[in-house]
Amino acid sequence: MGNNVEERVAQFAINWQRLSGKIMRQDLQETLGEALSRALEVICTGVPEPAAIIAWEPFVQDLARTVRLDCQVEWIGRRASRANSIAAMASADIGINVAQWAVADTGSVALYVTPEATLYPSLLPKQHLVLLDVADIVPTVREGLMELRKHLPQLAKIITGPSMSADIEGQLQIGVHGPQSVMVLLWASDRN
Amino acid sequence: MSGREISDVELFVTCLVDLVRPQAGIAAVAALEERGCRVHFSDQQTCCGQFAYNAGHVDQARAMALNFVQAFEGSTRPIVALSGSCAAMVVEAYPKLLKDVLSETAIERIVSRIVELTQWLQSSDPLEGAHEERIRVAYHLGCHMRRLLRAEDSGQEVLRQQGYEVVELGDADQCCGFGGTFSMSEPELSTAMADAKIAALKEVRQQYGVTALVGADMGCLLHLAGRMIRNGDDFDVKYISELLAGGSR
Amino acid sequence: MSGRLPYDPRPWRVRRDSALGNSSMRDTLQRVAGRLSKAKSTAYGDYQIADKWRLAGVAAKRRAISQIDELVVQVIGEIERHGGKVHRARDAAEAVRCVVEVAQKNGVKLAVKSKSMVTEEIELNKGLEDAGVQVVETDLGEYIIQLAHEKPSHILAPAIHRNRGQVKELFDVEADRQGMAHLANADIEQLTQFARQQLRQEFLSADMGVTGGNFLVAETGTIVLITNEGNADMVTSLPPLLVSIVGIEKIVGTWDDLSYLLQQPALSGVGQRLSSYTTFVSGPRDESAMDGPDQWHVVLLDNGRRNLVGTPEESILSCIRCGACLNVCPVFRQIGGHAYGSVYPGPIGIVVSANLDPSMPSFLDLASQACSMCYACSEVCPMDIPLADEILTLRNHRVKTMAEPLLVRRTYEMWGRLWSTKAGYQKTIRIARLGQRFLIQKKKLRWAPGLFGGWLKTRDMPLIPPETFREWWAKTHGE
Ligand code: SF4
Repeated sequence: MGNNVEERVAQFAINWQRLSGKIMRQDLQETLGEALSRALEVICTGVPEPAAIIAWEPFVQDLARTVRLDCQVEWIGRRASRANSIAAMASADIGINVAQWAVADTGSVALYVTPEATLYPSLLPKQHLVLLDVADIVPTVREGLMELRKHLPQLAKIITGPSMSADIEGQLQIGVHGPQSVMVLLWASDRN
Repeated sequence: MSGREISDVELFVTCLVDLVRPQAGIAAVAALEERGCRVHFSDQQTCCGQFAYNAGHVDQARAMALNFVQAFEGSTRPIVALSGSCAAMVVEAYPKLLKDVLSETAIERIVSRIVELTQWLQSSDPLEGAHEERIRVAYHLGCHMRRLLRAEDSGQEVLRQQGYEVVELGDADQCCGFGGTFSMSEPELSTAMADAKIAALKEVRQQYGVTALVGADMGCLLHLAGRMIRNGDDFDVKYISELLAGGSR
Repeated sequence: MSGRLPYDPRPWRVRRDSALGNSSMRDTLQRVAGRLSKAKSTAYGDYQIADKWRLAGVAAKRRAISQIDELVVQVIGEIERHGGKVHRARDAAEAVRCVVEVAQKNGVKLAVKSKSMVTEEIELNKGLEDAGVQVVETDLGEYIIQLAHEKPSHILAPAIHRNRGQVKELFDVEADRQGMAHLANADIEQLTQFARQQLRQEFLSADMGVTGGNFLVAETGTIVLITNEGNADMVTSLPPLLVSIVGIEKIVGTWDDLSYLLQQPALSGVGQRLSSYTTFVSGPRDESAMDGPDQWHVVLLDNGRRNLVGTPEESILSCIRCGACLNVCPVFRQIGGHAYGSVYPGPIGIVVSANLDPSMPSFLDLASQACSMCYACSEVCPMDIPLADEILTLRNHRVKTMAEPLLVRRTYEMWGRLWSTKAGYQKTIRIARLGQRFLIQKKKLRWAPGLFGGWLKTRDMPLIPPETFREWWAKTHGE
């Protein structure tokens, strides 16, 4: 399964979308900040203004500074205490994370808890946006798990689609505890 | 019947066909003879013992299995069984059941000879002269035929060869609820399962106008027919041999 | 040492008939179980590696069970090295005591739980509530049945027996309790959002989180949780204290083993390549990090499992609780989970309940009552557990231990004796012909003694004809 990046991107996209995940890709002429602006513009429709967006990881915070949006937004970052930070994130509309890796075969993205990254943006708001460097897409779950085993954060998760349940009469509902809508923004770092 | 080689077969008629549906056995003899078989019948045979085996009564099942072996050990002919479930009993259970009383080779000698009727017919040349007009029938495949014998198509195949159009029931892989003596010890549950199957049958009756329910396991058929009759529905239920003998067409 | 499982004291007849009488439950069940079974076969069908990996997963599970003692030692070492605390519980009572102690020591008032069959097995909620801890189930289905004071009726879809109207009634009571307005109607989306809002508050204020575990990887002491709703992520990341209760059979040796198994529960259970959330807990929260508990306790539960290692029944410990055998089982589709009277329903439920807790006659009886021997479960099980054969073994055990009613046993003995000779067989034909002459009413049999009478309760049976096949044969091919 050592196929090239574009094949993996295509496969990832099919599987991610199959689970009602949304996907956008950075254009060649576009900076990542511009691509992020475009993605957030889409997500913000349907969110009351000002949209509260979690930008936690330094990478995301740096990017956020370059984002230009038509709608009103409020950026949420680290607060003085852990409790305050969690409370702020719990009331956010949109969360942003950077994927550690993704799986082409299943349409999944992986997030780790690190000193710089938290999983809450992927859990507390109703909208979740994941930045995924196409170089980080692995063919199958196996390669991803080997990565995870190497780093072994205290907490990690693989996300495959939105939060859902079929617990009432077997009818599929999305957005049960976690996000209702999940979007991946594909970009290409210098590693590509 | 020119050009056909004559083969000799033993018939294992099964207790249910013998006792409540002899015409299915008679038709099976005819169907086999028409396809060039010389049929032999050892009248020492009774029952394969499955009803006891599946109820956990191993000792009783073993006694019946030994009688089965004695009934057929006099020849080396293939044994054609009129039930997928009974054939599966011999193939799957006899080696475990008889391992302490018979040698491995003695068991293998019997087990290797068993063939279910439709499997036998599928491997022999079809009769010439299929139906002119297509007759539509619904087919019920018994669970042991499906999952233990893995004879998933033989019944439908031989019906098609003789010009029948075979319609599958919805949720065909679901058990009809017969289950041997389960049908007697758990009538309510067993019947609830039958009703689900009969509802699926009703659908194809309405949609495709099938004229009969056909199967290769008498237990399932008696159970389904018995339920329909009890509810005042005398829809035609037939053992597969009854459609395959030339005289029946 | 064998284990103890909770049981429903109502007799089988009552459990079964109340299920058969619940037509809305049966309708939903047929539909959902049928859909899941189909999704499962499609999912494997168009996914090349799925079956190859499944087989590697089966081998990994079997290997883990044969090395269980070593793996337990290894897993304890790893979890504690990463700052977790492991407790070993020989049975349900010990496990509950242990969790209650941890809760009390930390002054826990509110605990939030993600779905876990093993906590049902040990009746953890009752134990915690008796100790003054409020427990909130956070899986949508579990939340519903907790409000209804019921037990789950399906491993994956615990509230499958309730329809939307019944769910609304429960939520209305909850709304009244909190002085809130009722939902306008029983719209499933609104019901789901009601639960989301209710439970969000509980997550944020809980003192303790409780989870089970789908896998526990020995080489790093990592617990893997597979969910679709996201509640397990709340439970593992928000409360300051986390307790994970895991049966020892959930241990697998390595991440390599895990990699083959990880997708199997979703593939087999719901026909997805992975569930929405796969969560990995390898230790309590690091000072520098935001998410996770300050303390992490892992309870390793035996409760009759170790006893099965090395017996012919040990393969049942490979179960990954995917639910596929329930979905495909024609009996389960008719009666749902409650009728089994055990927290573990369906084919695997019959096998696991009776083997973990052999002291309970009603579990052993299930083998005869709730199975038509169709082998659908054996065929579908991704872990290649020979479920039907295991049920047959239990039936056999039931006969050997004289657990059957005497009359039934005598029937089989007589029947077996008669039908193992030609003469005996012919004698039964004579008796049957004689008998039916007396029993016939309006050309039909309406009643018969013993087992056979069960048939006639709901179905007709043709009479023994004037000429059986063998009689016809003797006449036409005669000696
Ligand atoms: S026994 Fe097999 S099919 Fe049933 S729940 Fe366990 S793993 Fe799934």
